[in-house]
Amino acid sequence: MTSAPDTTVPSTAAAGAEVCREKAGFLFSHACKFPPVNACSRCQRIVCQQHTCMGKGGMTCVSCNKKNNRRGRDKTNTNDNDRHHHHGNNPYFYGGYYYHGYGYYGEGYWGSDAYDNYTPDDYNDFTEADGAFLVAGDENFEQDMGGS
Amino acid sequence: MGHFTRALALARRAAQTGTSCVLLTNSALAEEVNTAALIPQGVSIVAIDPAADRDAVALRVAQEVSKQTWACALVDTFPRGLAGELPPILSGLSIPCILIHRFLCDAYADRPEVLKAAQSFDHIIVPGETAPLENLSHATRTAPWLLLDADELWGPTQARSELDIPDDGVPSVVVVGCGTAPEIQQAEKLASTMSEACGEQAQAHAHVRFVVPSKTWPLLRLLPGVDLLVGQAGYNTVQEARATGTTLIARPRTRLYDRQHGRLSDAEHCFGSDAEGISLVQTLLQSSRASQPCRYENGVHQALRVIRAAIA
Repeated sequence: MTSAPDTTVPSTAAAGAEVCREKAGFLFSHACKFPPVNACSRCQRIVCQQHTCMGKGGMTCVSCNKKNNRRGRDKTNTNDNDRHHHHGNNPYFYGGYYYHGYGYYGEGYWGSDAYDNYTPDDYNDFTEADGAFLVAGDENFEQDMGGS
Repeated sequence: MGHFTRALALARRAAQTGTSCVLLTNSALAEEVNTAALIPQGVSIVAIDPAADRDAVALRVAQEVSKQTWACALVDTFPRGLAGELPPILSGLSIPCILIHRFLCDAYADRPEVLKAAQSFDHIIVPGETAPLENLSHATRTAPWLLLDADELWGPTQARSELDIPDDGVPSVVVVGCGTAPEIQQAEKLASTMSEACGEQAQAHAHVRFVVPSKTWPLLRLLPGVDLLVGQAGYNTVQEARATGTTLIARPRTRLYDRQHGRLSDAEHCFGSDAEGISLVQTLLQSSRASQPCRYENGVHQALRVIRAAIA
């Protein structure tokens, strides 16, 4: 079972300092600004406390923990209670199951008041560029000639 | 820089024993450092512009390989090449191809195309550190590869003189500036602050020097004159410090393929902020250090035996 992350909000890393290399996010994958405090025992990526998981594989990053869980999960088991038990209260593994109305911004759902003043044109806020944040992993492999 | 140093370490030994070598590299170090004194006859360096993009790198590699009359091709670290260009190039070669397998992060090494490329090599040599593909059946692990053998290092007095450090018994701290430009600037600033903190009136007094490869290379030769080495945690810095028994205080850096944090053992010292680094240096300066002559096994010799057996 994955332990829930520390809810204390750390300070973001100082300019120029090392930052957590995990990109798992609650809604989108995005760069993390917090200072690293651990190294994943699987991929050795440096991660902040929020992106550290203590699971079957030891101390890992969120991405490796997800991979470990996918490999170990019984795919024929669709029992939601088992999934809940597996992930505990970690928001990186939860969507609509835990957060009512997750992903829905219609009236009455969480976050809908942010759209009270939207015009029809505002709903085009999300562009193809935002899709970049949905891609997990290190996209610069074999692209960055100085990145070794 | 690490790739070029490792390749040069092997090429030197090969050339000294009658085997000519061509080093194909995009490392800026190849043009920054004075390699003339270290390169025996028989080693030539083909430099690819460090600023070249991946398409230009791939094209240049293909061009150079097409001209080759080599007996063997060695690839350092990247089974598919830095730009992913190698699989079609190497598949067209009729000579043995050997992978020098330094550590690669799992996120890359786990990719099916990377594993497939590694398996296609005739042999894999693991230069002295744990690497994800070291258990493949055609892998051989050697001791770490070092640019110089132990008997090529300078004595402490000569080394301190070269570093402009008085031979007065006061400990020496050398801060190495390497990596990206901001990292080098940060190291220089650290050296300046550290020098003030370890001044003559300090409880932990030391001579602090800042060096960069373009001016002081190879630093390995001078490590017998260094009491504390402050640097990053790349392959060469760590292996050279370990081999020479030099106390290393490392600031691991984030890299795309390497995981510097993972290279250090629990007993080795690492720091994040400048303040931590200075505090660590001051603490270590107050513990006694016994200097011992450097004796280490240089893995390039075993690697050459493996390579020659593959060619034979």
